[in-house]
Amino acid sequence: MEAMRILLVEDNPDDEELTLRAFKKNNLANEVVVARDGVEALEYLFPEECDQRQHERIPDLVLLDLKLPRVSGLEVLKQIRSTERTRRLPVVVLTSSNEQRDVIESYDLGANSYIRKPVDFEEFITGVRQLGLYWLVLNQPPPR
Amino acid sequence: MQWIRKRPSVTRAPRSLHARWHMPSLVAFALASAILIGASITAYLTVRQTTTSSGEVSASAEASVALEQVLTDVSLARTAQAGYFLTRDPRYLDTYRQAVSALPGVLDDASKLIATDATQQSRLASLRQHTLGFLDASAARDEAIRTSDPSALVTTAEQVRTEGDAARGLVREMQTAETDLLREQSARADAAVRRTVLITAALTGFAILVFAGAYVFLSREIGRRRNVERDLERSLAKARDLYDHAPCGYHELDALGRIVSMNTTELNWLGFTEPEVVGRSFADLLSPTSRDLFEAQLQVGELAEFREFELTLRRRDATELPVLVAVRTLPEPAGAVTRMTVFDITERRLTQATIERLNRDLTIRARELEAANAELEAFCYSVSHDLRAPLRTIDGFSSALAEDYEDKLDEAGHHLLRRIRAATKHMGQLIDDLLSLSRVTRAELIREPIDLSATARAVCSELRAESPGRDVRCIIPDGISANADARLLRIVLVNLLGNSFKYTAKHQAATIEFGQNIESDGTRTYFVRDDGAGFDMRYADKLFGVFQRLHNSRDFPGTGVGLATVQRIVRRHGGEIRAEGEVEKGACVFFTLGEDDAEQTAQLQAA
Repeated sequence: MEAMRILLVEDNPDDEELTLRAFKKNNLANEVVVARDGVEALEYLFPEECDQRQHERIPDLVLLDLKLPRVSGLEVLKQIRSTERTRRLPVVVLTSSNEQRDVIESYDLGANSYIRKPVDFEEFITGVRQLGLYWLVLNQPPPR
Repeated sequence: MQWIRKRPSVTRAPRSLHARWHMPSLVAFALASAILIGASITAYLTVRQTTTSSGEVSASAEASVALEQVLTDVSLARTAQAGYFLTRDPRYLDTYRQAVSALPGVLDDASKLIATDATQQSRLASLRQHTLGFLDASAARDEAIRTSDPSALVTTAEQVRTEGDAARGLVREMQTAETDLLREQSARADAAVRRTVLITAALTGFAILVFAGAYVFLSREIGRRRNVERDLERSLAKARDLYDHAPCGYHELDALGRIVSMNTTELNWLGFTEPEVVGRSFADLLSPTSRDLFEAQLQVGELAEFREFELTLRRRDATELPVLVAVRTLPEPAGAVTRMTVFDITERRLTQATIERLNRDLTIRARELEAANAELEAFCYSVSHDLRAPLRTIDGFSSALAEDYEDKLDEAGHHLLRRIRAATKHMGQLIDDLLSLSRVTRAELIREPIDLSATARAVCSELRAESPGRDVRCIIPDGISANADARLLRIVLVNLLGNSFKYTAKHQAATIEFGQNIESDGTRTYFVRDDGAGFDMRYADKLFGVFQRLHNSRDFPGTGVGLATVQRIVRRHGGEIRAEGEVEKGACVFFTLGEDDAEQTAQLQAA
């Protein structure tokens, strides 16, 4: 089975490291690509025409933080959902905010799931495990 | 206002004074006149009757006298006859002849005077015969005496006697008859007089009564009229007073717009005396701009219709007075009359200005508040993101450190790391609680009927699920409802029931109760009771302070924000909260949700 590719969109280097560590602890030996802000994420998902990355396949799962510099997570989400190629791409919003309007807007824009990053690392590890198991193993991905 | 006093027994509609007067007085006078006329007629008739009777009476008396005269005359004749017979004196013969010739006349007189009664007349006729007979017999007797014829003496003496007796008898008869007649007539006359007197007296009496009645009636009516006039005067005085001292100004203009009259209030406002304004054009009292407006308004509109508009009057001292006037022009035979009511709107203008100013201030303030709220919103949002990220980092890397250098750290080192992680977790909780508290303050309060029993049950199930294996009995009766914000009340119950769960954790079995008490005046008090650790009532007033705790965090974890949040929610609903407790016996938190006030406000607003 091909390794699942995860696109992690996270600007905080600490959070990035911790998330990767959590993945490793859960043996979710997947390829994790990190985009450090909205622009990078979009460049990765929607490369320029003449870029050879076009041939690369899109990720199997996007973990999207909301508060990003330059282009925000919701903007990225909007783009993902409005492009044919990535319309059905599973997107899990992974953010520290649990403000009502963030939740509402995320779902309105078509996020598949909304997870609040806990402070407690143990909890985070458990969460990541559950997340990985669900989205990468249990969940039936959309056809390519 | 009833100006005319009603008669007590009147059942008809009250008529004007004149009409009430007219009929009865007419009737009374007619009656009195009729009575008097009647009395006069009766008296007249009776007087005439009396006169007739008197005439008859004197006639009867004269008749008696006349009859006596007959006898006298006859006696005279006889005496003369006898005298002549004895003395042959020619003087006696003359007397005799005189008497005899006078006799028919006397008899005629008598016949005229005696009653026309048939009996009397026949008697008279007989008397005539017998008197003549008497005289003849007397003459024969005298002859017999002269001739001394004894038989002739006897017969003639007999004849004389018979004739004489007959004549005398007849006269007596006639006289008696006349006397009887006289008596009869007198009696009748007396009776008639008595009757007349009685009738006259009676009629006069009636007349007096009628006049007395009329007098009483008149004086009563006059009295009434005086009362009515007095009432009228009083009412007029009252109306005049009302007019003069009304809280608004009144004045009247003639067809040319000149002031005819003005009430005291308006005169005082303007500082004029009545003589100073009467006859002047009203436009003189207006400010120049108002003058045009006034003229224009007078042209427009139907007559007798009220028009209202604002003007500026000028006082005697040339200061201005803003007023609202109501104008009405009435056509009257002597010329159109314009009546105006004047309201001093100085207060109103000031109030309007104040209101406008306050509104402006309020708008500014509201905008400031909105801005502040927006800032707070942004702040909270930042907090929820930015403060938690470093916490996550601290906890994450501490954990990583503990793991990766597990064997390189001793127990003390691990312990330190554990403490670090505990602190970060606590801080995360604090941030969440504070965010929640601030959200509670900012959130819009939407009141609706909610089923608190259902909410409480749901919360209890969640709490039970979080702590499986605990023996907790939740007593939640059905039908507890409230008129409040559903989300905020959920937070209240989560906190209170959560506290109860927390503070009963050290006990083997626990009983938690949620319920309501309904007071006599209908207010509802809700409560959450447990039989857990309780608290010392001495520190009860600290219970709801932010970050205030009455228990050690070693025994019972917590941030000390939960009850502060509950209090804020309850207070926002306009309710009150208090707690009772006893160490190790349990605690009970009571709260109200200001529902009666809210209902009243809603009713007032809906009205």
